[in-house]
Amino acid sequence: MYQVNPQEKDKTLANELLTAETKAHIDGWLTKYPIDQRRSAVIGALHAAQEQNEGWLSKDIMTAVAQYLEIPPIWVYEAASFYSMFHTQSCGKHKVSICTNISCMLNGAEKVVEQAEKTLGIKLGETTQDGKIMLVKEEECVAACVGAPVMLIDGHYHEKLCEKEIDKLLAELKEKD
Amino acid sequence: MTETTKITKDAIPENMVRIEIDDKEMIVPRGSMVIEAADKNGISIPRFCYHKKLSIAANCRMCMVDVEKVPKPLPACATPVMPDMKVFTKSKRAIDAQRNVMEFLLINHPLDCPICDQGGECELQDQSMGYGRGVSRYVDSKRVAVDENIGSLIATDMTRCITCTRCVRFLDEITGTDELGGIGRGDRTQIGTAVGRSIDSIMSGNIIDLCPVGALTNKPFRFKARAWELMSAQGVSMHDAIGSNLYYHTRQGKILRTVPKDNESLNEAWISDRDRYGVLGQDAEDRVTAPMVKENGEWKETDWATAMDLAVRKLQANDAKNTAVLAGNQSTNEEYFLLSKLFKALGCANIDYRLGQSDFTQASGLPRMDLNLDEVGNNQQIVLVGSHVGHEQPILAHRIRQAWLKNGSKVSIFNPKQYHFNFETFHHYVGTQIEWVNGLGSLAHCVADLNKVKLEGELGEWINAQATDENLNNLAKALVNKDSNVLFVIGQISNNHPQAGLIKAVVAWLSSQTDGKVYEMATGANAVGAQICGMGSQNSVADILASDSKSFLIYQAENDDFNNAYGAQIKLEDADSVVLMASFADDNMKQVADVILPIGLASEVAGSYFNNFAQMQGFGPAAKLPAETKPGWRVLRVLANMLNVDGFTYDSIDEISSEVALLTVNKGEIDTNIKVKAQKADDLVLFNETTIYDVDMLARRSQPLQDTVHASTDNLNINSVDAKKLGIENAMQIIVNQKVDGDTITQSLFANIDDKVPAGSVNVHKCVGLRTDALNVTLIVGDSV
Ligand code: SF4
Ligand code: FES
Ligand code: FES
Repeated sequence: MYQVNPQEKDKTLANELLTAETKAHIDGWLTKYPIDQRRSAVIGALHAAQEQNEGWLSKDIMTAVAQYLEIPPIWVYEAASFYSMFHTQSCGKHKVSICTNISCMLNGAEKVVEQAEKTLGIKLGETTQDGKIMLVKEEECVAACVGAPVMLIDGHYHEKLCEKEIDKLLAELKEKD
Repeated sequence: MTETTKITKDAIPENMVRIEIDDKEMIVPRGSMVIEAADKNGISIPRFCYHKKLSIAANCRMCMVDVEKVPKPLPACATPVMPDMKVFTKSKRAIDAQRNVMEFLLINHPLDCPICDQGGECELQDQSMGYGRGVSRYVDSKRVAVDENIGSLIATDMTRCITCTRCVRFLDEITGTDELGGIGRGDRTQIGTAVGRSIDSIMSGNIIDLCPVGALTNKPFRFKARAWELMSAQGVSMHDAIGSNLYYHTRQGKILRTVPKDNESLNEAWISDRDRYGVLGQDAEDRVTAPMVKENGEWKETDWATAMDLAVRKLQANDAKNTAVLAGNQSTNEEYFLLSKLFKALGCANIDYRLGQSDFTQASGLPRMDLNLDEVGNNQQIVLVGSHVGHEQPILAHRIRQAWLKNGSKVSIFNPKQYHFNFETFHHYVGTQIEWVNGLGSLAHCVADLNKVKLEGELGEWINAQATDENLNNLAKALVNKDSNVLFVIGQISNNHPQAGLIKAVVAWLSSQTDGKVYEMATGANAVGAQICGMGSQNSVADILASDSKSFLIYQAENDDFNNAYGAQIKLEDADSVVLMASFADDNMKQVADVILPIGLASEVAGSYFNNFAQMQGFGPAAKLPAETKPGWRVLRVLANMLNVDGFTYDSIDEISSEVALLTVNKGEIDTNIKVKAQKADDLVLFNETTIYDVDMLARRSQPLQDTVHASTDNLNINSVDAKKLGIENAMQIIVNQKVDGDTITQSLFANIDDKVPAGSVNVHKCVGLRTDALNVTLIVGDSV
């Protein structure tokens, strides 16, 4: 059943918070699905909203997305809390996610986590004091098992990691603004 | 081998299949699930997530069964039946699978049933008795969830949740409000709201019954009693005329909670929150539990004999012609029967129960009802006329939603406010109390044009005078279409409208033109019973308040029940004598009454109700009568004897019930040959709204209901356009003047800008004390106050 229950017509937050760019982006996603399955546009919409909101999704901006898509707010919140690429708390500018799923785990992902935590002085899920770098709490298989262990920095893949490589990557990241 | 006789192939109809469960042969509908077949044939399969009224999720895996020729166990709730399928629910493989699932379910579930409110009536507890291990093998730490406050009705203990998603599916599929969801993922998934919202559905309490564990429990009932200490007594809804069936759970004679009783033709498996929590009003502070008399302005408790003596003297103070009986609409048939019998015998013609209404031209019979509740879904076109249906008869709203959802029914609405509904609307006409009635007239005009009928009589002239318009013409076309069944629902906003008679006449005319049916709502749980028992055939409450009546008997009613609360109060103040027979007496009533006789609520006495479909439903006393309180029928019987009226020798309630059952029930009709009362807007038009938890004495006193978002406020809701024009801002104090019959009623309220109210209109809640029958008001704003 794809039916969407009738929603309150209130669009205050959507109009207030979403930029024209985000709205255009969401509109693009909406054209890809039949109107009664517009729930499917939620992931694309959340990406756009997260981008406009300094990399994280506040309660208000999620509600704004729900209003814009005319779907229940809980559906937006469910999706946002399910996927590791969405952040429901304010977070660092740069995101480092280390895959800890099976292939990477067998190839030493735990060590990678340990090293990253030590180098940055924070635990998984935390952000460095200067607000620059965040270690994403949990990353499941990113579909690059051939290159395990894998680390993502701001969405870019770094594969077959070794100690030296990790040090280099993190040092470079610290230099970035 | 099986003992049952073999079913031959030819005996199986096309749409059925033959299967065997545990060697028992059965024929079941093609496409149904194994669990349904088992349930119908009394074979028990353990389950958590499956519920017959909800979609199938198959996520708990508790219902594993063994199917012949299938290499692994299958979930019975998601496995369709196949011809000649053989299912085993008790084989080793089935039981092993069930035990394994149980062990996993208990991994994260606390094992502390003694401190859980669900203990003793918990599906998980029961089934772990059957399938669980004596000692847990799991030694690691358990998942813990943080609780949310989701309002005054439901308590949460989310650590106990087994994520069966019954609550999530109920709020999505049945109420359409989508307040709960699964947050997070995997073993850390938790059921929660979208960040700190409350659950505001008007049927929310049902998730308590659905939750198989102690994660969602009844908040006001929390830690009050254990399931095995409770007695169960059957009852009927005291708040609306659907007549939902329910059970009261009592301990030591006190009602502690209410749960639904399945009745497929009425409330199915659900009850509204009003029916679940309304009865908690029983313990309100102003409950009277002993007879009381007023001496020199002071209330004193006394014995029944003294109070009855005084009551008789007070009722004899004036002759019957100047005596009046005004009753509420939630007493039993038996009480109404005795009341009307007694006072008619005395020669009194001033008897009424329609206290909230003002136009009585079409209110002297039963409501017109052309169908049963379970036929609502058969209509492709449903037109709601003056109805906030979910707040008037929640179960009817549920039926309409299901009609929209399952049968694609199109619902159109005429209302004085833009309410939010849990079904899509085809045409949603919102206008002031005057405009929407005219809009209905426009629809009739369009229908007349399409059907090329000549409009006659006063009604015809009025319809003719209403402008036609494009939009309504579309609706009219859909309604006159020969292929669609049409249903018109006349709601309580119409019943209380000063043009009620006109509205009903237009609907009746429309139904005759479209071959449609009419569902005329009753206002009040037993308004139909009151009518059948003869409480409404005489002078109306409006006549009575305008008459010279000087002696009053007020029966289970109070000031807030009246359309004209202000006028009623003044009338009663001026009266020679006022006898109050009621369960509650608020300050207003105490001010005017001379003697109070405490009588029981419908939940405390035996009796019966008639519902909107004129079905008589009986019940016994569920709760003990508090202290000196007596059943109303007994008091009336004694009163009759003391007043020397013959024919009151009843020894038991059954004798009265059987007389009630013999009363003739005339089918409700609506007359289209009427006199039209025109209404004209001078300034702003008032919509005086009776809110969902303000419908009767009991609901008004239920604190858990009054703590929800649906409680009445003393706001003056006004459209932003009007607000701007008048310089009104939110929370400003506004004086409202309502002029009627040369009197002016003045109230001071707080502005709330709300575009659900149409321009040209102001909306207030009934409890603030304005009248419903006078539509014109003026506002005084700001400096001029
Ligand atoms: S709260 Fe209860 S009904 Fe809802 S998912 Fe959890 S166990 Fe099921
Ligand atoms: S497990 Fe790490 S990329 Fe697949
Ligand atoms: S009842 Fe079948 S999987 Fe839950």
